[in-house]
Amino acid sequence: MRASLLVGTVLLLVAAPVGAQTAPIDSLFARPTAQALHRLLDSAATLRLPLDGLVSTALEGRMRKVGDERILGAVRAQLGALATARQALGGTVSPAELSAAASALLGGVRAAQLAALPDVRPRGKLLTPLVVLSDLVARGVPADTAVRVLYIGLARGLSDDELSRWRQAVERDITSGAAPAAAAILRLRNEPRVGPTAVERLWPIPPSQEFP
Amino acid sequence: MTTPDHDADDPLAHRAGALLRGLPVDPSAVARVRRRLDRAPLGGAPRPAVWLATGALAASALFAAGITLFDGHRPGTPAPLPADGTAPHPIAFSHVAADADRVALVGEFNGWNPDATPMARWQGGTTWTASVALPPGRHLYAFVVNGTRIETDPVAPRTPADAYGGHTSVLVVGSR
Repeated sequence: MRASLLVGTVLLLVAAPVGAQTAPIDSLFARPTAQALHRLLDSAATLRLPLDGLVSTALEGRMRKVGDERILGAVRAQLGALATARQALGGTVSPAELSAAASALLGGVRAAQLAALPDVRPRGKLLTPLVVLSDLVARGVPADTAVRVLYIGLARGLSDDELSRWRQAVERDITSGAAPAAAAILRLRNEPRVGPTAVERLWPIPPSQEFP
Repeated sequence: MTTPDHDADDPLAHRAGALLRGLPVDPSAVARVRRRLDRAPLGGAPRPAVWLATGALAASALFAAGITLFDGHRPGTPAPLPADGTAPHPIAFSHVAADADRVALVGEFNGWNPDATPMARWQGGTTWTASVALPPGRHLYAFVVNGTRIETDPVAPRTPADAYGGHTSVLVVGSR
């Protein structure tokens, strides 16, 4: 009796949040779509991946008034990215870090590049670096370049605040018309903790090819 | 197109600047950005619980006047962090939309529902504001202008274009 009560309680504790997370699916989507979404969410739950972002992607698609097939495709892609991110970063990252990593992957960052992040920042949280990485890619910095400049900055010990200031500076330069890759590199060189020497030592690019 | 002044003495920056010059740029856009940056409150932290100064002019004016808005904290200053580091933080959002009759804040926190968080027009101008309480973590959001146009926050980090072809803005709310 006690055992069944305990099991029941545990099931309720586990099921309630999942139900709360997925409740809008049934009310907003036609039954076939809702069922397909639930199957994807079940897969995510089996893999112990966070469901919030997947539900959010579906609801965002609804808000953008795109077709159900496209919404299912987006959720499927995100599920794949989350699984890849989990594999790359390991099981200790937070759901927010995992979602940010999935976003970076969908932006073109490779899993192997992502897997190096915990080594580059072994003692810090990964959320801000991942958000900055996604933003750089979103603003047109090629993924390989974005990874490289970010990791140089992290290797030189840039804090979350410094990373955010760097990102803002890059954003301003790009908004002003600068080439995204050049803006990211130049602004990193200007970071006091990094400087031109570190960038040039770690990124020995002949002057003639500095900004292809 | 201009490069930052402090790059002037840096040979590499100078070379890069030379390469960057000549790119097609809308001068009025540059002027708008510069005006906004010149007047916006400085500070580069990832903005946990801070005024998101999309409407930099209005935000600056409020900041200078020391007006306290939204949940009792002043725009431009971090809100007090909750004691346990996990409770929701009050976040004030603003967005400038010159031609808007209505603006809504949408995001993961309200199920991307354009009816859930309507923004209020600030003093009859073009800046729209709303405040929501968000727990520490990463939050995606956007603004819906006049019920149809989806806009990102120009000064916030954004996600790469998603499967729907659009970007969303990212807010990181820090924990203690």
